[in-house]
Amino acid sequence: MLAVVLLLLVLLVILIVRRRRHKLPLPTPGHAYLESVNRPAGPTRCIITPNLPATVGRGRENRLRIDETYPGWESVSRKHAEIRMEDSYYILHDLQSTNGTYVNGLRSGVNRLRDGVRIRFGHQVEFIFHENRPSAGAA
Amino acid sequence: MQCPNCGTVNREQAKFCRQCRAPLTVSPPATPINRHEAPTAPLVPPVPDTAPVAPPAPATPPPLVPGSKTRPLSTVDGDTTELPDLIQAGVLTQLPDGEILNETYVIEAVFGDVHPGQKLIAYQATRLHDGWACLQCQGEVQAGNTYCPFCGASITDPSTLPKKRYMVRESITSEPFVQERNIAELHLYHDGIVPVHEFFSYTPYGSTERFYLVSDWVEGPYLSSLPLPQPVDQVLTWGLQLAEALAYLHENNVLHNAVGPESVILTNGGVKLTNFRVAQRLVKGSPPDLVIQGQARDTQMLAQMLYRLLTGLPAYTPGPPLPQDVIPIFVRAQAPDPAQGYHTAQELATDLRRVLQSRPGISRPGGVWQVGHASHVGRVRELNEDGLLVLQLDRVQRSQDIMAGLYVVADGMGGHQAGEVASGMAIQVVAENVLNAVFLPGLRDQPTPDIEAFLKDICQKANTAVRDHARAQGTDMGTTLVVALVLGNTAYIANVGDSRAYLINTSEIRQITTDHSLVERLVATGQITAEEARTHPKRNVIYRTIGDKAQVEADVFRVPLQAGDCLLLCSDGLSGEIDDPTIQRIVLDNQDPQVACQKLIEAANEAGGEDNITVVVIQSKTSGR
Repeated sequence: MLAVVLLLLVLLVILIVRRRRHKLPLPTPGHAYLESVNRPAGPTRCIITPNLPATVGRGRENRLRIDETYPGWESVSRKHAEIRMEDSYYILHDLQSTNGTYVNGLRSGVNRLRDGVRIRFGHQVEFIFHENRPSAGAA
Repeated sequence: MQCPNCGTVNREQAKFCRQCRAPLTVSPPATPINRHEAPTAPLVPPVPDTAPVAPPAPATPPPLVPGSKTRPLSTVDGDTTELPDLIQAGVLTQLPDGEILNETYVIEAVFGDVHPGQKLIAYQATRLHDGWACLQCQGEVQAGNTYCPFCGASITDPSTLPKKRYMVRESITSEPFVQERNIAELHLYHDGIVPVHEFFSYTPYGSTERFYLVSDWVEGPYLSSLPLPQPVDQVLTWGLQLAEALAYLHENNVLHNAVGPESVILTNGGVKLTNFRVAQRLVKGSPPDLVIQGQARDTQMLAQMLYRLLTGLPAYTPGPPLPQDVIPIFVRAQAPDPAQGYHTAQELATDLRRVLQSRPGISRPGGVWQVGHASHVGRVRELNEDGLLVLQLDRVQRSQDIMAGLYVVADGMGGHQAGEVASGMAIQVVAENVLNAVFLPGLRDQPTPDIEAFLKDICQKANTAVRDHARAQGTDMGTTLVVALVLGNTAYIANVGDSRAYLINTSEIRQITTDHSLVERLVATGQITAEEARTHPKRNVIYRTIGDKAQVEADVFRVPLQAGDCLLLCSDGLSGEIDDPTIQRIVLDNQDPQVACQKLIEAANEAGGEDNITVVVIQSKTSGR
């Protein structure tokens, strides 16, 4: 009986944690995030700040790790891409990935990101880049 | 995607029409969410050029390329291109917006093919870190500039300016840019050409190197997209600008080799020659024949283009439907014997200029306005506190906005070390401001400010300068100021005080300005007559001067000038001594304005010469028209 209650409790905690994850607050101005668009297990978000670049890839060392929960994850390289702030813009760098990084469907090497662009790593793993730009640098 | 403006079919992602550069409606939604197809899906293949706008350029032999290092590329029409269609083959895929090239340029939008069939991708780009556009001249401003390096406009903070836009063309081989890359090295800069900035290679991803050529982004349609025929004066004006641009290229040892409506963009500031794809940079020791023939060929191509724009006909036919004065140009351009044709663009420019100058309806260039001026101390005063300025720009290169003149008369007050200082200072402030804001931009075909507001503004500036100086010196000084700024056939007159501007012709003498004097008010309110005003004891009292109060309001008048009109500016030493009909008679009796000025001063001295006498006469010489 106790075991069942404990199990229920654990499940509840997991559920709450997941809910929390879904309701992440919008990043403060100057911050940005990537949000996955086609992950059957639910969307994920990766916050990027000027001091906290996002590294993307299959490897464990990446902040945004593409694991088997993303369809098409095999086409993502171990160290695939990185997004970091340079001169007040977030810049996407493809790290010589095998299958390429795409911005709005076009293959990219180094790209200055704008709010709302679609970034695809490899063949299928796709994210939308959201940025809350301070008004001065808009455009 | 079809252009709503000209109907040309463009590539799907294009944001601007490749033919007329009209912005196209919002591009279709980007990649679908789940994209399973091959990542290097080719772009929508470029649709063959269906633009019916202009017939292909008159057949000109493909340019000879010096040496045999390079083969002739393509003609401008692109029909004979030998480059494989790399875009369609998927080898060269377009880069996304925001892509950073070589850590220097950021792609803002894709433009599509510059010329159909060239197999290049063209982007609109800005510089990543620097490269702002001067608000006045669109010239490139760098970080740290406090003045525009091209027009001298003052800049407080470059980063507040809009980013300068560039056209970046991309190719998988360096071949299309072979010639332009040579041209870029010359750093040519001329009003009539689109500057080519640099060439570089860069590998955006993978291992496929791409080649890029950067030039100015210029807004406007190609001449090839305009309906035919075009108005005569318009075409001749373009022709003159282009002939001068060609002459500049030839001076710099460059042959364009592809002059045609597909190589000329019509902008706000006039026409600009572009498309240096088959241009040729002549090295030292090029055979003289090559140079001479090349220059003649460029000039002939230009004449051919002008003919086509004027008539819609591809080649010269005897008895063309053109005005008589224009025909000789094309007769000479088509002379079967090359010795009789145009050898240089300069020769064509000279002829075009001559025809343009003699055409009705176009403001006539330099030499038609003659100016005389004189200033005399008078017979009573010991000191001449009056000042005058004549600054005239007769530009013989453009058929429009050719004549600009600034004429100022200032009557200083306050005695020794004051009156002449005040008048001199006011004149100096006016001249400097007009030079910087009107004459220099005018020379560069850049926009000038709203003249009427500008004149009010410079009167205020002169007022501030004189007043500050007077306060610093602890003296009381002031000056009247009458300014005439003549631009083309319009005179703008600004006035503070009781110096006057008159418009004189055979039918009338009209005082343009209103004196800011007590007696003028009395006359205006009917208390005294104009004749009484001349001898009124308080006739020297003026209620508005430069240097008196902190704020001064100048009256500004706009006067259209016609053939035979004269403008006369004078201090009250003239207008207070002799009456208007006498002034009119003296001005009209003397063909030479300088003689007229001297006669006016003599007349004023004979009538008493109580004050300093200063007069400027601007006479339009249009006899025979």
